[in-house]
Amino acid sequence: MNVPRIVGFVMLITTLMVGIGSNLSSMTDPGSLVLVVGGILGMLLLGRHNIGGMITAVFSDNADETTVRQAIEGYKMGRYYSMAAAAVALGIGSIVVLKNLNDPGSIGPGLAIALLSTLYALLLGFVLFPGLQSGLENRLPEPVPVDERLVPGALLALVFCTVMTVAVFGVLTASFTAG
Amino acid sequence: MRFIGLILVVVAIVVAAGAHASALIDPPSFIMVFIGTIGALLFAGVSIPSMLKAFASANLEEEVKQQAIRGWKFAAGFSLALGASATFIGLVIMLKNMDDPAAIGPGFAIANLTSFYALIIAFAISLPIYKSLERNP
Repeated sequence: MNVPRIVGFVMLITTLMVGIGSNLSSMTDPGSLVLVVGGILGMLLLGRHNIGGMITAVFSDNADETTVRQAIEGYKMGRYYSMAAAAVALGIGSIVVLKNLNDPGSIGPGLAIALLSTLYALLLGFVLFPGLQSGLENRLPEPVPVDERLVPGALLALVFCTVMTVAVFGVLTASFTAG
Repeated sequence: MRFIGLILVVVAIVVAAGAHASALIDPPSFIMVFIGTIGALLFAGVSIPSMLKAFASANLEEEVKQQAIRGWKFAAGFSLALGASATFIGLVIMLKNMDDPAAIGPGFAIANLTSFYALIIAFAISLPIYKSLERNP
């Protein structure tokens, strides 16, 4: 980790905070965090990835090449695992929402939990892990091309989030005007 | 030539928006997507000077060109990802403020304008640049 990369990370967090503003407490949900981070860690362990190496390779500049390559592989799979965790979280969230359909007051919070785990998974899988992976790839002797699926995958996530937003907002507005 | 293209894209969007052009500007969404993408690029260790060099000039050394292709691809990916994340942030803000109609507006602006900005960065700016760099080896 060199200084520009740390500056970039701080910039990223600050800009997200600008958008969140005074709603920070509604953006943190321990349950979703445990589900996403725990899920990804569990899947990495199941896949026998070297998690210790993944952490040391990022923070120490003199890690040997084998560790760096293993860490790159780990972050690459972490991107896929985070999408899997998001899918699981969405499933759990929709069950919670559907279970409480007769109590309109609990739909909003339940939905927020389902959305927050997807949000954490998106930030991990499409921003944090690709960033760490790219930083490690710069250290390899040979140039590594960018994953061809990076842009289509992110586009799919954006389309999904936009459709989801319009659908959720439309349903809620309709139920408010009808009731 | 690229400057003319960029200006044309912006002018086309402004003309299409017409009298509502001011509704397309929302500072928090703008900061989240544009500054956030720059932050993510710095975090990824991408060479931003070679990205700008590839934007401005035509004759490039091979190494600068490869770094620029890498950088603009990451710019497209990161802007779309930040747009998706910010869309959900806006949606959660809206859901939390369902009983207060005045507070829904800012959340809705973040939810929709971030994806709009993300699509502009990814498909109106980054995609043409990295495809043109890949086409001329």
